[in-house]
Amino acid sequence: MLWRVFAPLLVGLAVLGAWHALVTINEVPVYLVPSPVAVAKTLVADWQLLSASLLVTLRIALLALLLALIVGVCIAFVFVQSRQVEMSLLPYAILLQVTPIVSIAPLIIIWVKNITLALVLCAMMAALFPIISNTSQGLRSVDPGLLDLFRLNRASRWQTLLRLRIPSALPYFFAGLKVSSGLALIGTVVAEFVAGTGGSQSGLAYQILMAGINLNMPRLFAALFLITLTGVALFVLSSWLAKLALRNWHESEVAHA
Amino acid sequence: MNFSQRVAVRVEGAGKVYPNGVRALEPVDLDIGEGEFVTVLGPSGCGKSTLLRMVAGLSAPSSGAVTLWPESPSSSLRRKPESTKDQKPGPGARRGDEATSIRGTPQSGKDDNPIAFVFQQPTLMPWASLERNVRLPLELAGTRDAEASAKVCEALKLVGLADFAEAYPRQLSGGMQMRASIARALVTEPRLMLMDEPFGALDEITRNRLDRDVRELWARRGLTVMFVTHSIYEAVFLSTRVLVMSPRPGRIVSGLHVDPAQARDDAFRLSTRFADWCRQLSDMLDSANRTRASA
Repeated sequence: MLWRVFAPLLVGLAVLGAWHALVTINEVPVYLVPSPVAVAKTLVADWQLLSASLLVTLRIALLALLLALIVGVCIAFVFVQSRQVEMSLLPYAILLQVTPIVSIAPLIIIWVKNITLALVLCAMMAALFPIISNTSQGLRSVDPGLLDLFRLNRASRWQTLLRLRIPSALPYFFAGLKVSSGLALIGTVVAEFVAGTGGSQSGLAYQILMAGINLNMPRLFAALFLITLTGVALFVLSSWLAKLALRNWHESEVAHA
Repeated sequence: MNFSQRVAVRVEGAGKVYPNGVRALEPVDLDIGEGEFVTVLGPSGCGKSTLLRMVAGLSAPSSGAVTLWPESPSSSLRRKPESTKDQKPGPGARRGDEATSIRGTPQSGKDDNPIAFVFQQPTLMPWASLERNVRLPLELAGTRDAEASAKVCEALKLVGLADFAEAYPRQLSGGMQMRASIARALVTEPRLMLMDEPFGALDEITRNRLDRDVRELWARRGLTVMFVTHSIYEAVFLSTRVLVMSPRPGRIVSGLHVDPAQARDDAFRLSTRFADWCRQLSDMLDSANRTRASA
Protein backbone atom coordinates (compact mmCIF):
# COMPACT_ATOMS: atom_id res chain seq x y z
CA MET A 1 0.00 0.00 0.00
CA LEU A 2 2.78 2.41 1.00
CA TRP A 3 4.67 1.34 -2.10
CA ARG A 4 1.76 2.39 -4.29
CA VAL A 5 2.23 5.96 -3.07
CA PHE A 6 6.01 6.01 -2.90
CA ALA A 7 6.87 4.37 -6.20
CA PRO A 8 5.26 7.01 -8.44
CA LEU A 9 6.48 9.75 -6.12
CA LEU A 10 10.02 8.47 -6.43
CA VAL A 11 9.78 8.40 -10.22
CA GLY A 12 8.47 11.97 -10.20
CA LEU A 13 11.31 13.18 -7.99
CA ALA A 14 13.85 11.39 -10.15
CA VAL A 15 12.51 13.02 -13.31
CA LEU A 16 12.47 16.46 -11.66
CA GLY A 17 16.03 15.91 -10.40
CA ALA A 18 17.27 14.85 -13.84
CA TRP A 19 15.48 17.78 -15.44
CA HIS A 20 17.07 20.23 -12.99
CA ALA A 21 20.51 18.67 -13.40
CA LEU A 22 20.37 18.66 -17.20
CA VAL A 23 19.20 22.26 -17.38
CA THR A 24 21.84 23.45 -14.89
CA ILE A 25 24.78 21.46 -16.31
CA ASN A 26 24.06 22.39 -19.94
CA GLU A 27 23.26 25.99 -18.98
CA VAL A 28 20.05 25.91 -21.00
CA PRO A 29 18.69 29.47 -21.23
CA VAL A 30 15.55 30.00 -19.17
CA TYR A 31 13.55 31.17 -22.24
CA LEU A 32 13.96 27.68 -23.73
CA VAL A 33 13.60 25.31 -20.79
CA PRO A 34 13.32 26.64 -17.25
CA SER A 35 14.48 24.48 -14.37
CA PRO A 36 11.81 23.12 -12.03
CA VAL A 37 13.11 25.45 -9.35
CA ALA A 38 12.50 28.45 -11.59
CA VAL A 39 8.99 27.20 -12.31
CA ALA A 40 8.30 26.77 -8.61
CA LYS A 41 9.61 30.27 -7.87
CA THR A 42 7.34 31.73 -10.58
CA LEU A 43 4.41 29.80 -9.23
CA VAL A 44 4.88 31.55 -5.90
CA ALA A 45 5.74 34.97 -7.33
CA ASP A 46 2.88 35.03 -9.85
CA TRP A 47 0.43 33.27 -7.56
CA GLN A 48 -2.06 36.11 -7.55
CA LEU A 49 -2.31 36.18 -11.31
CA LEU A 50 -2.19 32.42 -11.77
CA SER A 51 -4.65 31.58 -9.01
CA ALA A 52 -7.19 33.99 -10.48
CA SER A 53 -6.79 32.27 -13.86
CA LEU A 54 -6.98 28.87 -12.21
CA LEU A 55 -10.33 29.79 -10.66
CA VAL A 56 -11.68 30.97 -14.02
CA THR A 57 -10.66 27.76 -15.76
CA LEU A 58 -11.83 25.55 -12.94
CA ARG A 59 -15.20 27.27 -12.81
CA ILE A 60 -15.77 26.85 -16.53
CA ALA A 61 -14.66 23.22 -16.50
CA LEU A 62 -16.93 22.38 -13.56
CA LEU A 63 -19.92 24.18 -15.05
CA ALA A 64 -19.35 22.43 -18.36
CA LEU A 65 -19.09 19.06 -16.65
CA LEU A 66 -22.28 19.68 -14.71
CA LEU A 67 -24.11 20.77 -17.83
CA ALA A 68 -22.78 17.79 -19.82
CA LEU A 69 -23.96 15.52 -17.03
CA ILE A 70 -27.50 16.92 -17.01
CA VAL A 71 -27.87 17.17 -20.79
CA GLY A 72 -26.14 13.82 -21.39
CA VAL A 73 -28.34 11.92 -18.96
CA CYS A 74 -31.48 13.51 -20.40
CA ILE A 75 -30.45 12.54 -23.93
CA ALA A 76 -29.65 9.01 -22.75
CA PHE A 77 -33.14 8.70 -21.27
CA VAL A 78 -34.64 9.81 -24.57
CA PHE A 79 -32.45 7.32 -26.45
CA VAL A 80 -33.62 4.30 -24.48
CA GLN A 81 -37.29 5.10 -24.97
CA SER A 82 -37.20 3.44 -28.36
CA ARG A 83 -34.76 2.06 -30.89
CA GLN A 84 -36.24 4.34 -33.55
CA VAL A 85 -35.48 7.46 -31.55
CA GLU A 86 -31.97 6.30 -30.89
CA MET A 87 -31.36 5.32 -34.49
CA SER A 88 -32.50 8.74 -35.69
CA LEU A 89 -30.47 10.72 -33.18
CA LEU A 90 -27.34 8.66 -32.60
CA PRO A 91 -25.60 9.67 -35.87
CA TYR A 92 -25.82 13.30 -34.78
CA ALA A 93 -24.46 12.54 -31.34
CA ILE A 94 -21.54 10.80 -33.03
CA LEU A 95 -21.13 13.72 -35.41
CA LEU A 96 -20.86 15.98 -32.40
CA GLN A 97 -18.27 13.68 -30.89
CA VAL A 98 -16.03 13.41 -33.96
CA THR A 99 -16.08 17.11 -34.86
CA PRO A 100 -12.95 18.61 -33.30
CA ILE A 101 -13.98 21.17 -30.72
CA VAL A 102 -11.25 23.50 -32.02
CA SER A 103 -13.10 23.81 -35.30
CA ILE A 104 -16.46 24.79 -33.88
CA ALA A 105 -15.25 26.86 -30.94
CA PRO A 106 -14.81 30.03 -33.08
CA LEU A 107 -18.41 29.72 -34.28
CA ILE A 108 -19.79 29.34 -30.80
CA ILE A 109 -17.70 32.23 -29.53
CA ILE A 110 -19.04 34.45 -32.34
CA TRP A 111 -22.64 33.34 -31.85
CA VAL A 112 -22.81 33.46 -28.09
CA LYS A 113 -22.28 36.93 -26.68
CA ASN A 114 -21.61 35.95 -23.07
CA ILE A 115 -18.02 34.73 -23.18
CA THR A 116 -18.32 32.50 -20.08
CA LEU A 117 -21.39 30.83 -21.54
CA ALA A 118 -19.64 30.35 -24.87
CA LEU A 119 -16.67 28.69 -23.18
CA VAL A 120 -18.95 26.50 -21.05
CA LEU A 121 -20.86 25.40 -24.16
CA CYS A 122 -17.65 24.46 -25.99
CA ALA A 123 -16.35 22.46 -23.05
CA MET A 124 -19.72 20.84 -22.54
CA MET A 125 -19.79 19.61 -26.13
CA ALA A 126 -16.39 18.04 -25.64
CA ALA A 127 -17.55 16.24 -22.49
CA LEU A 128 -21.01 15.22 -23.60
CA PHE A 129 -20.59 12.04 -25.60
CA PRO A 130 -19.14 9.63 -23.00
CA ILE A 131 -22.03 10.46 -20.69
CA ILE A 132 -24.64 9.88 -23.40
CA SER A 133 -23.18 6.64 -24.66
CA ASN A 134 -22.34 5.17 -21.27
CA THR A 135 -25.61 6.09 -19.62
CA SER A 136 -27.75 4.81 -22.47
CA GLN A 137 -25.76 1.60 -22.59
CA GLY A 138 -26.19 1.27 -18.83
CA LEU A 139 -29.92 1.86 -19.02
CA ARG A 140 -30.12 -0.96 -21.56
CA SER A 141 -27.79 -3.35 -19.79
CA VAL A 142 -30.33 -4.69 -17.38
CA ASP A 143 -30.23 -8.32 -16.26
CA PRO A 144 -33.00 -9.92 -18.38
CA GLY A 145 -33.89 -12.15 -15.44
CA LEU A 146 -34.54 -9.11 -13.28
CA LEU A 147 -36.65 -7.59 -16.07
CA ASP A 148 -38.70 -10.80 -16.10
CA LEU A 149 -39.03 -10.57 -12.35
CA PHE A 150 -40.31 -7.01 -12.56
CA ARG A 151 -42.77 -8.03 -15.29
CA LEU A 152 -44.03 -10.96 -13.25
CA ASN A 153 -44.66 -8.60 -10.37
CA ARG A 154 -46.49 -6.24 -12.71
CA ALA A 155 -44.11 -3.38 -12.11
CA SER A 156 -45.05 -0.18 -13.86
CA ARG A 157 -42.71 1.38 -16.38
CA TRP A 158 -41.86 4.03 -13.82
CA GLN A 159 -41.06 1.46 -11.11
CA THR A 160 -38.88 -0.45 -13.53
CA LEU A 161 -36.99 2.70 -14.45
CA LEU A 162 -36.50 3.85 -10.89
CA ARG A 163 -35.73 0.55 -9.22
CA LEU A 164 -34.06 -1.39 -12.00
CA ARG A 165 -32.80 0.62 -14.94
CA ILE A 166 -31.28 3.54 -13.08
CA PRO A 167 -29.41 1.46 -10.48
CA SER A 168 -28.19 -0.85 -13.25
CA ALA A 169 -26.94 2.16 -15.20
CA LEU A 170 -25.04 3.85 -12.37
CA PRO A 171 -21.71 2.01 -12.77
CA TYR A 172 -21.74 2.79 -16.51
CA PHE A 173 -22.68 6.40 -15.85
CA PHE A 174 -19.82 6.92 -13.44
CA ALA A 175 -17.35 5.34 -15.85
CA GLY A 176 -18.52 7.93 -18.40
CA LEU A 177 -18.23 10.72 -15.86
CA LYS A 178 -14.57 9.90 -15.23
CA VAL A 179 -13.78 10.20 -18.93
CA SER A 180 -15.89 13.34 -19.29
CA SER A 181 -14.19 15.10 -16.38
CA GLY A 182 -10.93 15.08 -18.34
CA LEU A 183 -12.65 16.06 -21.59
CA ALA A 184 -14.39 19.00 -19.93
CA LEU A 185 -11.02 20.46 -18.97
CA ILE A 186 -9.55 19.86 -22.42
CA GLY A 187 -12.60 21.52 -23.95
CA THR A 188 -12.23 24.47 -21.61
CA VAL A 189 -8.57 24.99 -22.42
CA VAL A 190 -9.16 24.67 -26.17
CA ALA A 191 -12.03 27.15 -26.03
CA GLU A 192 -9.97 29.59 -23.97
CA PHE A 193 -7.16 29.37 -26.52
CA VAL A 194 -9.58 30.19 -29.31
CA ALA A 195 -11.32 32.96 -27.38
CA GLY A 196 -8.06 34.45 -26.10
CA THR A 197 -9.89 36.69 -23.69
CA GLY A 198 -7.92 39.13 -21.62
CA GLY A 199 -8.82 41.12 -18.54
CA SER A 200 -10.62 39.61 -15.61
CA GLN A 201 -11.94 36.64 -17.61
CA SER A 202 -8.57 35.17 -18.55
CA GLY A 203 -8.10 31.54 -17.73
CA LEU A 204 -4.96 29.42 -17.59
CA ALA A 205 -4.94 28.86 -21.36
CA TYR A 206 -4.71 32.62 -21.86
CA GLN A 207 -1.76 32.76 -19.45
CA ILE A 208 -0.03 30.06 -21.49
CA LEU A 209 -0.76 31.92 -24.70
CA MET A 210 0.62 35.22 -23.35
CA ALA A 211 3.59 33.60 -21.65
CA GLY A 212 4.45 31.93 -24.96
CA ILE A 213 4.31 35.21 -26.85
CA ASN A 214 6.45 36.91 -24.19
CA LEU A 215 8.85 33.97 -23.95
CA ASN A 216 8.07 33.81 -20.23
CA MET A 217 8.79 30.10 -20.02
CA PRO A 218 8.66 29.72 -16.24
CA ARG A 219 5.14 31.16 -16.18
CA LEU A 220 4.10 28.98 -19.11
CA PHE A 221 5.29 25.90 -17.24
CA ALA A 222 3.63 27.05 -14.03
CA ALA A 223 0.29 27.49 -15.81
CA LEU A 224 0.71 24.12 -17.49
CA PHE A 225 1.38 22.55 -14.12
CA LEU A 226 -1.81 24.08 -12.73
CA ILE A 227 -3.87 22.79 -15.67
CA THR A 228 -2.54 19.28 -15.11
CA LEU A 229 -3.29 19.58 -11.43
CA THR A 230 -6.85 20.68 -12.25
CA GLY A 231 -7.30 17.63 -14.48
CA VAL A 232 -6.13 15.33 -11.74
CA ALA A 233 -8.41 17.06 -9.24
CA LEU A 234 -11.43 16.66 -11.51
CA PHE A 235 -10.65 12.99 -12.00
CA VAL A 236 -10.23 12.43 -8.28
CA LEU A 237 -13.50 14.23 -7.66
CA SER A 238 -15.46 12.04 -10.08
CA SER A 239 -13.82 8.88 -8.77
CA TRP A 240 -14.78 9.92 -5.28
CA LEU A 241 -18.37 10.59 -6.35
CA ALA A 242 -18.51 7.17 -8.00
CA LYS A 243 -17.23 5.48 -4.89
CA LEU A 244 -19.67 7.38 -2.72
CA ALA A 245 -22.67 6.61 -4.89
CA LEU A 246 -21.96 2.97 -5.57
CA ARG A 247 -21.18 2.26 -1.96
CA ASN A 248 -24.24 4.00 -0.60
CA TRP A 249 -26.57 2.63 -3.19
CA HIS A 250 -28.86 0.97 -0.73
CA GLU A 251 -29.19 4.22 1.22
CA SER A 252 -30.60 6.02 -1.80
CA GLU A 253 -32.96 3.11 -2.30
CA VAL A 254 -34.22 3.47 1.25
CA ALA A 255 -34.82 7.17 0.67
CA HIS A 256 -37.35 6.68 -2.12
CA ALA A 257 -39.06 3.64 -0.63
CA MET B 1 -50.46 -34.69 2.15
CA ASN B 2 -53.85 -33.81 1.00
CA PHE B 3 -54.56 -33.34 -2.70
CA SER B 4 -57.61 -31.44 -3.66
CA GLN B 5 -59.07 -32.10 -7.06
CA ARG B 6 -58.99 -28.49 -8.20
CA VAL B 7 -56.88 -27.74 -11.21
CA ALA B 8 -54.19 -25.11 -10.74
CA VAL B 9 -52.70 -25.11 -14.24
CA ARG B 10 -54.46 -26.16 -17.39
CA VAL B 11 -52.45 -26.28 -20.60
CA GLU B 12 -54.58 -26.85 -23.68
CA GLY B 13 -52.70 -27.47 -26.87
CA ALA B 14 -50.22 -24.77 -26.06
CA GLY B 15 -47.25 -24.80 -28.42
CA LYS B 16 -44.49 -22.44 -29.30
CA VAL B 17 -43.10 -21.59 -32.69
CA TYR B 18 -40.57 -18.79 -32.75
CA PRO B 19 -40.87 -16.08 -35.39
CA ASN B 20 -37.85 -17.56 -37.18
CA GLY B 21 -39.82 -20.77 -37.70
CA VAL B 22 -38.12 -22.86 -35.02
CA ARG B 23 -40.61 -25.12 -33.31
CA ALA B 24 -39.62 -25.02 -29.66
CA LEU B 25 -42.58 -26.85 -28.27
CA GLU B 26 -45.19 -29.09 -29.86
CA PRO B 27 -48.74 -28.47 -28.59
CA VAL B 28 -48.94 -29.70 -25.00
CA ASP B 29 -51.99 -30.76 -23.01
CA LEU B 30 -51.51 -30.86 -19.30
CA ASP B 31 -53.43 -30.43 -16.05
CA ILE B 32 -51.67 -29.75 -12.78
CA GLY B 33 -53.82 -30.21 -9.71
CA GLU B 34 -53.60 -27.96 -6.69
CA GLY B 35 -51.05 -29.23 -4.21
CA GLU B 36 -49.12 -31.28 -6.77
CA PHE B 37 -45.36 -31.15 -7.16
CA VAL B 38 -44.92 -31.67 -10.88
CA THR B 39 -41.47 -31.88 -12.40
CA VAL B 40 -40.84 -31.49 -16.10
CA LEU B 41 -37.81 -33.55 -17.05
CA GLY B 42 -36.04 -33.39 -20.37
CA PRO B 43 -32.76 -32.81 -22.15
CA SER B 44 -31.40 -29.31 -22.72
CA GLY B 45 -33.27 -27.31 -25.32
CA CYS B 46 -36.38 -29.51 -25.30
CA GLY B 47 -38.67 -26.60 -24.56
CA LYS B 48 -39.33 -27.33 -20.91
CA SER B 49 -38.33 -23.82 -19.88
CA THR B 50 -40.51 -22.45 -22.67
CA LEU B 51 -43.46 -24.34 -21.25
CA LEU B 52 -42.77 -22.94 -17.80
CA ARG B 53 -42.42 -19.40 -19.15
CA MET B 54 -45.75 -19.75 -20.91
CA VAL B 55 -47.39 -20.81 -17.67
CA ALA B 56 -45.80 -17.80 -15.98
CA GLY B 57 -47.03 -15.47 -18.70
CA LEU B 58 -43.51 -14.43 -19.66
CA SER B 59 -43.98 -15.85 -23.13
CA ALA B 60 -47.22 -16.13 -25.07
CA PRO B 61 -48.11 -19.50 -26.63
CA SER B 62 -48.24 -19.49 -30.44
CA SER B 63 -51.23 -21.80 -30.32
CA GLY B 64 -53.59 -23.12 -27.67
CA ALA B 65 -53.95 -21.61 -24.23
CA VAL B 66 -52.72 -21.78 -20.67
CA THR B 67 -55.18 -21.12 -17.91
CA LEU B 68 -54.46 -20.85 -14.21
CA TRP B 69 -57.23 -21.90 -11.83
CA PRO B 70 -59.69 -22.47 -14.67
CA GLU B 71 -62.41 -23.56 -12.29
CA SER B 72 -62.50 -20.45 -10.13
CA PRO B 73 -63.42 -17.56 -12.38
CA SER B 74 -62.62 -15.06 -9.66
CA SER B 75 -58.91 -15.71 -9.77
CA SER B 76 -58.41 -17.41 -13.09
CA LEU B 77 -55.70 -16.17 -15.43
CA ARG B 78 -55.73 -17.02 -19.08
CA ARG B 79 -52.84 -16.74 -21.47
CA LYS B 80 -53.61 -16.94 -25.14
CA PRO B 81 -51.67 -16.42 -28.31
CA GLU B 82 -51.26 -12.82 -29.19
CA SER B 83 -51.07 -11.04 -32.46
CA THR B 84 -47.84 -9.42 -31.34
CA LYS B 85 -44.67 -11.31 -31.96
CA ASP B 86 -42.82 -13.15 -29.27
CA GLN B 87 -42.22 -10.93 -26.32
CA LYS B 88 -38.74 -10.88 -25.14
CA PRO B 89 -37.89 -8.59 -22.29
CA GLY B 90 -36.03 -6.37 -24.66
CA PRO B 91 -34.75 -2.94 -23.88
CA GLY B 92 -37.28 -0.25 -24.32
CA ALA B 93 -39.71 -2.42 -22.36
CA ARG B 94 -42.87 -2.76 -24.36
CA ARG B 95 -44.83 -3.07 -21.17
CA GLY B 96 -48.11 -2.31 -22.84
CA ASP B 97 -48.13 -5.53 -24.83
CA GLU B 98 -46.74 -7.65 -22.07
CA ALA B 99 -49.26 -6.54 -19.52
CA THR B 100 -52.05 -8.16 -21.49
CA SER B 101 -50.60 -11.59 -20.98
CA ILE B 102 -49.79 -11.10 -17.34
CA ARG B 103 -52.79 -9.17 -16.19
CA GLY B 104 -55.25 -11.28 -14.27
CA THR B 105 -58.43 -10.40 -12.53
CA PRO B 106 -57.38 -10.29 -8.91
CA GLN B 107 -60.38 -10.23 -6.63
CA SER B 108 -58.77 -9.86 -3.24
CA GLY B 109 -55.48 -8.56 -1.96
CA LYS B 110 -54.32 -12.02 -1.03
CA ASP B 111 -54.57 -13.31 -4.56
CA ASP B 112 -52.86 -10.23 -5.89
CA ASN B 113 -49.98 -12.23 -7.26
CA PRO B 114 -50.71 -15.92 -6.93
CA ILE B 115 -47.65 -17.09 -8.85
CA ALA B 116 -43.96 -16.85 -8.09
CA PHE B 117 -41.07 -17.70 -10.35
CA VAL B 118 -37.60 -18.90 -9.38
CA PHE B 119 -35.06 -18.46 -12.15
CA GLN B 120 -32.02 -20.52 -13.14
CA GLN B 121 -29.85 -17.80 -11.65
CA PRO B 122 -30.47 -16.20 -8.25
CA THR B 123 -31.36 -12.99 -10.14
CA LEU B 124 -30.85 -10.71 -7.18
CA MET B 125 -30.28 -6.96 -7.41
CA PRO B 126 -26.58 -6.54 -6.62
CA TRP B 127 -27.09 -3.05 -5.25
CA ALA B 128 -29.58 -4.09 -2.61
CA SER B 129 -29.28 -6.05 0.62
CA LEU B 130 -31.04 -9.39 0.91
CA GLU B 131 -33.75 -7.74 2.93
CA ARG B 132 -34.42 -5.25 0.16
CA ASN B 133 -34.24 -7.94 -2.51
CA VAL B 134 -36.80 -10.08 -0.77
CA ARG B 135 -38.96 -7.04 -0.12
CA LEU B 136 -39.09 -6.06 -3.79
CA PRO B 137 -42.27 -7.92 -4.84
CA LEU B 138 -44.13 -6.42 -1.89
CA GLU B 139 -42.87 -2.92 -2.65
CA LEU B 140 -43.90 -3.22 -6.27
CA ALA B 141 -47.36 -4.29 -5.13
CA GLY B 142 -47.55 -1.36 -2.71
CA THR B 143 -47.71 -3.36 0.50
CA ARG B 144 -47.56 -1.22 3.64
CA ASP B 145 -44.10 -0.95 5.23
CA ALA B 146 -44.81 -2.63 8.55
CA GLU B 147 -46.64 -5.52 6.96
CA ALA B 148 -43.91 -5.94 4.37
CA SER B 149 -41.17 -5.96 7.01
CA ALA B 150 -42.89 -8.72 8.92
CA LYS B 151 -43.35 -10.81 5.79
CA VAL B 152 -39.77 -10.32 4.64
CA CYS B 153 -38.51 -11.30 8.06
CA GLU B 154 -40.59 -14.45 8.01
CA ALA B 155 -39.54 -15.41 4.49
CA LEU B 156 -35.86 -14.98 5.33
CA LYS B 157 -36.31 -17.07 8.45
CA LEU B 158 -38.03 -19.76 6.42
CA VAL B 159 -34.99 -20.21 4.19
CA GLY B 160 -32.54 -19.86 7.08
CA LEU B 161 -31.15 -16.46 6.13
CA ALA B 162 -32.53 -14.39 8.98
CA ASP B 163 -29.00 -13.46 10.07
CA PHE B 164 -28.05 -12.24 6.59
CA ALA B 165 -30.80 -9.71 6.02
CA GLU B 166 -28.32 -6.84 5.72
CA ALA B 167 -25.78 -8.74 3.60
CA TYR B 168 -25.34 -8.05 -0.09
CA PRO B 169 -25.72 -10.82 -2.67
CA ARG B 170 -22.03 -10.78 -3.64
CA GLN B 171 -21.10 -11.53 -0.03
CA LEU B 172 -22.98 -14.82 -0.12
CA SER B 173 -22.36 -18.24 -1.64
CA GLY B 174 -24.32 -19.41 -4.65
CA GLY B 175 -26.48 -21.63 -2.47
CA MET B 176 -27.34 -18.80 -0.12
CA GLN B 177 -28.15 -16.52 -3.04
CA MET B 178 -30.53 -19.17 -4.34
CA ARG B 179 -32.15 -19.39 -0.90
CA ALA B 180 -32.68 -15.64 -0.98
CA SER B 181 -34.25 -16.03 -4.41
CA ILE B 182 -36.64 -18.61 -2.97
CA ALA B 183 -37.42 -16.33 -0.04
CA ARG B 184 -38.30 -13.59 -2.52
CA ALA B 185 -40.64 -16.00 -4.28
CA LEU B 186 -42.29 -17.05 -1.01
CA VAL B 187 -42.73 -13.55 0.37
CA THR B 188 -45.89 -12.89 -1.63
CA GLU B 189 -47.42 -16.12 -0.32
CA PRO B 190 -47.92 -17.52 -3.80
CA ARG B 191 -50.20 -20.47 -4.49
CA LEU B 192 -48.17 -21.61 -7.46
CA MET B 193 -44.37 -21.77 -7.58
CA LEU B 194 -42.69 -22.09 -10.94
CA MET B 195 -39.05 -23.14 -10.70
CA ASP B 196 -36.80 -23.16 -13.74
CA GLU B 197 -33.80 -25.41 -13.01
CA PRO B 198 -33.10 -23.32 -9.93
CA PHE B 199 -30.23 -25.45 -8.63
CA GLY B 200 -28.56 -26.38 -11.89
CA ALA B 201 -25.52 -24.23 -11.21
CA LEU B 202 -24.92 -25.47 -7.68
CA ASP B 203 -22.69 -28.25 -6.42
CA GLU B 204 -24.38 -31.53 -5.65
CA ILE B 205 -24.18 -31.26 -1.88
CA THR B 206 -25.81 -27.83 -1.83
CA ARG B 207 -28.30 -28.93 -4.42
CA ASN B 208 -29.42 -31.94 -2.39
CA ARG B 209 -29.87 -29.80 0.68
CA LEU B 210 -31.92 -27.20 -1.20
CA ASP B 211 -34.01 -29.93 -2.81
CA ARG B 212 -34.85 -31.17 0.68
CA ASP B 213 -35.73 -27.64 1.79
CA VAL B 214 -37.96 -27.01 -1.20
CA ARG B 215 -39.74 -30.27 -0.68
CA GLU B 216 -40.32 -29.37 2.97
CA LEU B 217 -41.61 -25.91 2.08
CA TRP B 218 -43.97 -27.42 -0.44
CA ALA B 219 -45.41 -29.78 2.16
CA ARG B 220 -45.63 -27.15 4.86
CA ARG B 221 -47.07 -24.37 2.71
CA GLY B 222 -49.50 -26.46 0.69
CA LEU B 223 -47.95 -25.04 -2.47
CA THR B 224 -48.43 -26.18 -6.02
CA VAL B 225 -45.02 -26.47 -7.65
CA MET B 226 -44.05 -26.82 -11.28
CA PHE B 227 -40.35 -27.60 -11.42
CA VAL B 228 -38.12 -27.87 -14.46
CA THR B 229 -34.92 -29.90 -14.35
CA HIS B 230 -32.69 -32.16 -16.40
CA SER B 231 -31.67 -34.22 -13.38
CA ILE B 232 -33.43 -37.57 -13.03
CA TYR B 233 -32.45 -37.82 -9.35
CA GLU B 234 -33.81 -34.39 -8.55
CA ALA B 235 -37.06 -35.21 -10.34
CA VAL B 236 -37.60 -38.42 -8.37
CA PHE B 237 -36.61 -36.89 -5.06
CA LEU B 238 -38.90 -33.88 -5.33
CA SER B 239 -41.97 -34.77 -7.27
CA THR B 240 -45.35 -36.31 -6.89
CA ARG B 241 -45.44 -36.56 -10.68
CA VAL B 242 -42.72 -36.41 -13.31
CA LEU B 243 -43.36 -35.50 -16.95
CA VAL B 244 -40.78 -36.62 -19.47
CA MET B 245 -40.17 -34.53 -22.56
CA SER B 246 -38.60 -35.51 -25.85
CA PRO B 247 -35.81 -33.51 -27.46
CA ARG B 248 -36.69 -30.51 -29.59
CA PRO B 249 -39.31 -29.90 -30.73
CA GLY B 250 -40.41 -30.87 -27.24
CA ARG B 251 -43.39 -33.04 -26.50
CA ILE B 252 -44.52 -34.60 -23.25
CA VAL B 253 -44.02 -38.27 -24.02
CA SER B 254 -44.67 -39.98 -20.73
CA GLY B 255 -45.28 -39.47 -17.06
CA LEU B 256 -44.49 -41.15 -13.79
CA HIS B 257 -46.10 -40.86 -10.39
CA VAL B 258 -43.81 -40.98 -7.41
CA ASP B 259 -45.61 -42.26 -4.34
CA PRO B 260 -46.60 -39.11 -2.42
CA ALA B 261 -46.55 -41.01 0.84
CA GLN B 262 -42.86 -41.79 0.37
CA ALA B 263 -40.74 -39.83 2.85
CA ARG B 264 -38.16 -37.68 1.08
CA ASP B 265 -35.01 -37.84 3.11
CA ASP B 266 -31.41 -38.87 2.60
CA ALA B 267 -32.32 -42.52 3.19
CA PHE B 268 -34.73 -42.32 0.26
CA ARG B 269 -31.90 -41.33 -2.07
CA LEU B 270 -30.10 -44.57 -1.25
CA SER B 271 -33.14 -46.81 -1.33
CA THR B 272 -33.94 -49.35 -4.04
CA ARG B 273 -37.30 -47.67 -4.64
CA PHE B 274 -35.46 -44.48 -5.53
CA ALA B 275 -33.22 -46.42 -7.88
CA ASP B 276 -36.25 -48.09 -9.44
CA TRP B 277 -37.97 -44.79 -10.18
CA CYS B 278 -34.74 -43.37 -11.55
CA ARG B 279 -34.32 -46.36 -13.85
CA GLN B 280 -37.89 -46.01 -15.11
CA LEU B 281 -37.35 -42.34 -15.89
CA SER B 282 -34.03 -43.07 -17.51
CA ASP B 283 -35.72 -45.67 -19.77
CA MET B 284 -38.44 -43.17 -20.65
CA LEU B 285 -35.84 -40.54 -21.60
CA ASP B 286 -34.00 -43.10 -23.69
CA SER B 287 -37.08 -44.17 -25.60
CA ALA B 288 -38.06 -40.52 -26.08
CA ASN B 289 -34.65 -39.98 -27.61
CA ARG B 290 -35.00 -43.01 -29.85
CA THR B 291 -38.41 -42.01 -31.19
CA ARG B 292 -36.92 -38.65 -32.05
CA ALA B 293 -33.97 -40.28 -33.78
CA SER B 294 -36.12 -42.65 -35.82
CA ALA B 295 -38.74 -40.05 -36.67
